[in-house]
Amino acid sequence: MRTPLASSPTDNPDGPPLILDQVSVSFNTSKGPARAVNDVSLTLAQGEILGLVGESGSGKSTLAFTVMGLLPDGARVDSGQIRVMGKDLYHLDPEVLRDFRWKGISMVFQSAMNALNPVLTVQDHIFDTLRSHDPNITDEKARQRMLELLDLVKIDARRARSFPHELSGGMKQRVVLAIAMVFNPPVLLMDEPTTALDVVVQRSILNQVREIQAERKMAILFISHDFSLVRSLAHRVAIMYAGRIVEITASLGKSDAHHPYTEGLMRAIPELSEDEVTISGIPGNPPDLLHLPTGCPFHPRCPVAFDRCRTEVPPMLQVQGNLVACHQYSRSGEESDHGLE
Amino acid sequence: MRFFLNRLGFLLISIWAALTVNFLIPRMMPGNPVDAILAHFQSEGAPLGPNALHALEQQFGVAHSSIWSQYLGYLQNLLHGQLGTSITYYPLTVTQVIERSLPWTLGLAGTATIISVLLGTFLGVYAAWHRGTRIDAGLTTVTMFTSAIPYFWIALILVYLFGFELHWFPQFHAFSTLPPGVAWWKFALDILYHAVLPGATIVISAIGGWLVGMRNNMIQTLGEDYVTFARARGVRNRRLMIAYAARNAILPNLTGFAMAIGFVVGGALLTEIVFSYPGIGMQLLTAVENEDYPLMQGIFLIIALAVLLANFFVEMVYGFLDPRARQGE
Amino acid sequence: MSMSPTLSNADSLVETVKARRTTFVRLLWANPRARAGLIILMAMIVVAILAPVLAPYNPTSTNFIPSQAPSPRHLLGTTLQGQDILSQLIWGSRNSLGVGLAVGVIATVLSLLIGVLPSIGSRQVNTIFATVTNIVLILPGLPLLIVLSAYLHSSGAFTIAAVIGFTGWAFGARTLRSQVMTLRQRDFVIAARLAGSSQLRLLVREILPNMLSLVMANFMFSILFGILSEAGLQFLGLGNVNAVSWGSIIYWSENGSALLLGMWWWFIPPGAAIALVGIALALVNSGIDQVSNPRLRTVAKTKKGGILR
Repeated sequence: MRTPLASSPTDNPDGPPLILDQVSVSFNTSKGPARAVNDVSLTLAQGEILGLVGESGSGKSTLAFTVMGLLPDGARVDSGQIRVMGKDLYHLDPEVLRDFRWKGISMVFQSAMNALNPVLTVQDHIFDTLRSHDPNITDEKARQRMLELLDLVKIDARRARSFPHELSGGMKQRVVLAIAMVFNPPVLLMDEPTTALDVVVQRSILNQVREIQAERKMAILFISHDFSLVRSLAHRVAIMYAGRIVEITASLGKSDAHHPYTEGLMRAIPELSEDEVTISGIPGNPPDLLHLPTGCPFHPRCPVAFDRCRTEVPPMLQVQGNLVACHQYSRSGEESDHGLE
Repeated sequence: MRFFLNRLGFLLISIWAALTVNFLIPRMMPGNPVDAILAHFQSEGAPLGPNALHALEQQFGVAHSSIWSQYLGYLQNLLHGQLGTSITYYPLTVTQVIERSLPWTLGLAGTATIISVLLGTFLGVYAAWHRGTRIDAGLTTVTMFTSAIPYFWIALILVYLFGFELHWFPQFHAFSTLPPGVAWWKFALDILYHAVLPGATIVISAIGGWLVGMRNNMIQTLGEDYVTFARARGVRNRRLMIAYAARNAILPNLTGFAMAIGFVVGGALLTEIVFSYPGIGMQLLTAVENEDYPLMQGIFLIIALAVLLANFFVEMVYGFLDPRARQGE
Repeated sequence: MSMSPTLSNADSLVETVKARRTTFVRLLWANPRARAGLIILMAMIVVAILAPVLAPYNPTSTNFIPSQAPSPRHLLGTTLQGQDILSQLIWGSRNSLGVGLAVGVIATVLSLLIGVLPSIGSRQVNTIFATVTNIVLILPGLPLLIVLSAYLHSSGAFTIAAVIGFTGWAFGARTLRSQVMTLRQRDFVIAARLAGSSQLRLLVREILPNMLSLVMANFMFSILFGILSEAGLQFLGLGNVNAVSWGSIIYWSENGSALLLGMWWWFIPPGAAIALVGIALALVNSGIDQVSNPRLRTVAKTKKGGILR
């Protein structure tokens, strides 16, 4: 039913810039292994912004670090394949990987506050990045590139000599964005890039991301817990629950067919256009990753769950142009091959 | 600049505090040092002249004058570098005695401390980088033990093993009596040879704190986002380890220097005594045993000043390494 | 201001902190290092208490053949004066641990008074006490102790403990102080303050209960400091050399040229006893570190630097 990607034509670098195929990641904890990412398949098309939404603990950040090949100690990829520009990151020589990271794929970290080394200046950070990949770059060229980057994220060139503690939160996040753009990578991961910022700064940074993306056409995986923010930015949205992708959708209209979890998320957002604002959350709590429920992980909280949901993990189904992993559609919809378009 | 002035201010205040403590001790403690000193000279058959007597009284306060004028006189004498006359080494002044012994202490304890700081920091970085390996476990376990053992006991064991049993190194003193006219380098080698065991004592005892402190801070910083971010950017391991992890990890360790230096100095004094090394630690014991109060207090003052200056120097290094401190909050 | 009750929210926060503390103790006991250290310490205290029962001979009796190497009759040999070293060691633990304990109490009380209490005062009061603490902290302790004991001449165990305690409080004062400063920013403390608690009440009811483990750690550190300092002073002959303690055994061994006579059994056991206390406290301390700082709990690693490959 499902074809392994190794033999598929996606080896070629002209294919989708980022492909995840049935990736599973677990952490060793003192109480046993915890599945943080479970059988995730995703494809990021060229020039696309794909939003990845989920509650905290749903595995979004782990997924990002998995793609970067930067999982912390005690975490491991159990199965699956990750291809960035056709390259399998987990089978690269360490030195090749070191160089490929940032040139092929870069990442904006969640907390810009902590992503910058407190004892180095903005310039040091950018120079370090350049020199790590091109040890022979001249100071003149490096400075030139730095000025271009600072200009790109609209930071005054005089800030090059500033230390992180001298910058505001928004400026730090811009600097991190500039660092991520040093080599104009075709794929950019953004892990909650604006969570710690106030709304005004958040908006200006998002506009910046939009502008840069429109100009450079890189593919962006934009991770956030903020459903409405992702909806306004992304071309498609993937919804993650308990380590699984439960839905990938391009249309988030209320009338469309969705996963019950997605519907719950949409209900949790107040619609300002409506006269009566009703917010209703999703009853229950996200599951313990050490003791995942059998079948669909959402079934204990699902208002429409039936017997099959408790025993069988739902496959990705093509429903009205969306991919939804839910048994309630299995009678009407047809199974997609493996979640790839 | 503000940081510098701030630290300089603290240095001056703490020097003043040390001087004042030194002034107050003989006045607050039971007994009368001047009587003891006079009795000492009487029994030696060399009574003191009126000038020397006056100086003694100013120093130890058997007062015809008020405590304030004693205090001012004391500070004035210090400004002129006058710490009084030693009783043990009469007619040498305290300053002269200290001038003879201080170089030995600075050479031995100073060098050994610097070695232990550098080596401990380096090994701490290494252990953290290889955390969880056998080397890491070995280093941290061994140093946990060595840093818990009293200095003088390590010294005794080293003397017993390598001096008494194996005869590899001399047991005591800083140099042997060489025939006159011997080449200077032979003398230098002889001094080094004598410094091995006491130096090793200080290094063995002091290294543990630096190693474990550095390792734990380093593990902390290796988990910081800026290290992961740098790794993601392809920053090479060597640069990552030094400029990102170690440079940040060393900062809290430098803050702890103020506390550590006191212990190191105390341990170095005891080490000198075990080895009969002619530094100021040995002189301090001699002074105590002979009730040589002027020498005792002079030595305390010098040690305090040296520690305060060392601490000031380390704070300057801290300011150099940490832009946040340099620019001052 | 009335005795208005603290916010129930704040109370529940304190409750969780308390719950965490009991798990902390359990975690500490579960930590092999900490447990080993605690067992050693308890064993030594038992030995000190039971000294009259455990010691084979009178420690001051000089009736034995001098300078004997360890033998079944004298497990740790005898001194140059013909005293049984094992008995001296066992009785000496009373003096050494006793002085250590007294120093621990004195230094901890002082560090609480000087490091913690001023936090209820004004800004200026705070600054003054912080500066005083920092100054005392860097004044070299042992030389000061030596000078002070020279004035006091050979004095009783309690005087020694008092002098050591009075020179050794600064470290604790500084660590406790910074902990108070951190706790004052916590929500449950702020909540209690907004609910009208007085500064003193805030300190006693909200802050102190939450730093008991740090106070305990400091207490243990002060005990070690006391034991090491007492041993150092005794070794120099500045305490009461006729009282049997681990330090004075080493003093007499030095005095009796044990090193030159090769009488290792004279100076190794008392030093080892001191080292054992030090190691036990270090074990407990590193156990506390590991428990309270999860990052130091070493996870089995695949490769250096943590790059997963």
